[in-house]
Amino acid sequence: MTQITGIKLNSIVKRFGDVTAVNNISFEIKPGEFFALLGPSGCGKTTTLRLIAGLETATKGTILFNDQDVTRAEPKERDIAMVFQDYALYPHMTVAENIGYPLKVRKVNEKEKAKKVIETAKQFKIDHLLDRKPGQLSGGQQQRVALARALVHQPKVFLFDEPLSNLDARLRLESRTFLKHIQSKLGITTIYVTHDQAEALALADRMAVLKDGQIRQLGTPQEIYEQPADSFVADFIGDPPMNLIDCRLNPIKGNLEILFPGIKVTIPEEKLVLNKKVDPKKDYIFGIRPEHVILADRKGDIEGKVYAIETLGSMTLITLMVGDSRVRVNTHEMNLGLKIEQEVPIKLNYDMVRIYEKESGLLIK
Amino acid sequence: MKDFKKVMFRLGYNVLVVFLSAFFALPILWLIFTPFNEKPTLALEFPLNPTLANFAKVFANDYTINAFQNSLIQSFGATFLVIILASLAAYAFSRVRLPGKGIIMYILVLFSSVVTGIAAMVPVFFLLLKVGLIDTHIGVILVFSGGFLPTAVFLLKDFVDSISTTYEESALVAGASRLQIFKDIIFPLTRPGMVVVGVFTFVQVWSNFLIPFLLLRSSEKMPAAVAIYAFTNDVGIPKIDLISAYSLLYTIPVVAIYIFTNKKYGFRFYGGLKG
Repeated sequence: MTQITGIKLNSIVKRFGDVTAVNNISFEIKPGEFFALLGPSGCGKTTTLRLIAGLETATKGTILFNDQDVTRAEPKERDIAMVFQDYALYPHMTVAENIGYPLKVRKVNEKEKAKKVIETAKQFKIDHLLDRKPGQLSGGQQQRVALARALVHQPKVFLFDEPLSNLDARLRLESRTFLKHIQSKLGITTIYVTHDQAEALALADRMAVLKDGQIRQLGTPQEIYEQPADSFVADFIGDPPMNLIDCRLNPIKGNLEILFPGIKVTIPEEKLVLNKKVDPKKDYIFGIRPEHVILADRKGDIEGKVYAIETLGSMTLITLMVGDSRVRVNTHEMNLGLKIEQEVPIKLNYDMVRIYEKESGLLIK
Repeated sequence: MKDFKKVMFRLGYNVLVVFLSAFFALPILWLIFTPFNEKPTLALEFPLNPTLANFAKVFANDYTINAFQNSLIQSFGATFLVIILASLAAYAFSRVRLPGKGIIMYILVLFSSVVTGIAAMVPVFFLLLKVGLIDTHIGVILVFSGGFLPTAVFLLKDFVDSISTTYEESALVAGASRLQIFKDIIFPLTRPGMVVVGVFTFVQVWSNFLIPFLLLRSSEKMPAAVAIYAFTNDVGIPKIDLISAYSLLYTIPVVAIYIFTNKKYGFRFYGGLKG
């Protein structure tokens, strides 16, 4: 069994000319953890991964593998494996040669190499493809070969750069499950870069959400889903996305008036405890996930008018017009008998309401 | 009326094509048929009693065999040197972030034709004389290599450019050194490009007359392209029997190389492979 490695990044900065791709990032990955770097394109997640791989060198800061400084170490000194978005399978080599390549450059003798290649190929159920060239394989098979090649020399750290984005939707789900299984079984420290929030939520033990080269939030998928640290994260995480509605807040005598565009809701103050004093002149963002908006039987907190009903199989997505804003409601009930333009009372789960300052985007509840 | 016009157009078009084809085919037919005639002339005659006597005369001459050897030395020498240096240089040009490398490339290609061109022959001659490479195979090989390298680098750079950098990165991460990556990945993937460049260089050197003619002094070092000038009698009248047989032999290596490489690798003008 290989030694399990923890990784630490200390105030990492990476500049390309005038462009700062990674701006003062620090985080720690525990040994054996599945860690996801999530963010939109150009947020610096791939650069961060490449810095950890040693394909780029940090402008500032240090990278530690188990307290050993590898900031300036060559990739081959780091004992890592990386799976690329396009898999980077060598087109002129057979599957067996591809899988065996990390062993070849490590000068492992032929007999042991052949043994390990077959062993690994069996583990990934590709042992019947060993004589083929990558061009003759399907997308899913190519991905398995890439995984097998990455794992054959039992690396200390496993790096993924969007390995599922070239697969079609169904295969992606299957591969995701397979990845999670393999990683849990082997317990190798894994860093996974993706722009797909569902992938990050599904796979990661912990994750970092990045934007403009900075970490916006670091935590477990559940923490990030339930308590997005700012309005960007709130908007980025979740499908269907969180309802984010501009509003003003006005506290009057133990009550809180929430002024949405075109509608006003008044609730007792203790229902929505804010950790900052409210300024009635400032703009705020009212956030609530679609599953926390509940269709009420008779009397609700607000009334909404049905805008669209979309059946998603296991659930129904209903979009309501509340005042001038659209509000998505997610429910598991199937036959609601709703009609378009119909008035519906709704209740809000105030425990799960998040309020952000519009200007700073910061969470105040 | 319309049909008549159409027919006439087709007829005219075909006549023109036949005429043009014949015009270009004649010298080739002459080259193929004439050596087998008993009394070869400049006219195209189909050999009714084919004979190999002309070839026998060519092979009886030590000088000609020697000339073929020289041609092979010079052509393969230059080809080998160009392929090795051009592929290394193309890799560097493609991968290294170097300001102004596009302009350097452009200037090199632009001026490369000067090296093997007539205008530079006097300085090149003096240069070789000074470094003592006049009348050597090495001298000829170096001048040819210098002339063809920029074009070869330019062609090969395109091949290397089309190879995704993730191949190299994945090999780097897997633990390979730069040299291993070149040997295991870049070299096999640019091989079709090297074949193109190699055949191009070989054919150019094989058929070049001027450079070996100027840079070589002793007749035992002359390549085939120059040796052909020896086939005249004392008053300078060409010996058609020898020339025709010799010319046919002269074309064989080029055709053979083309057929061999095309069969083995196939000519392609792009690099990499679909993943």
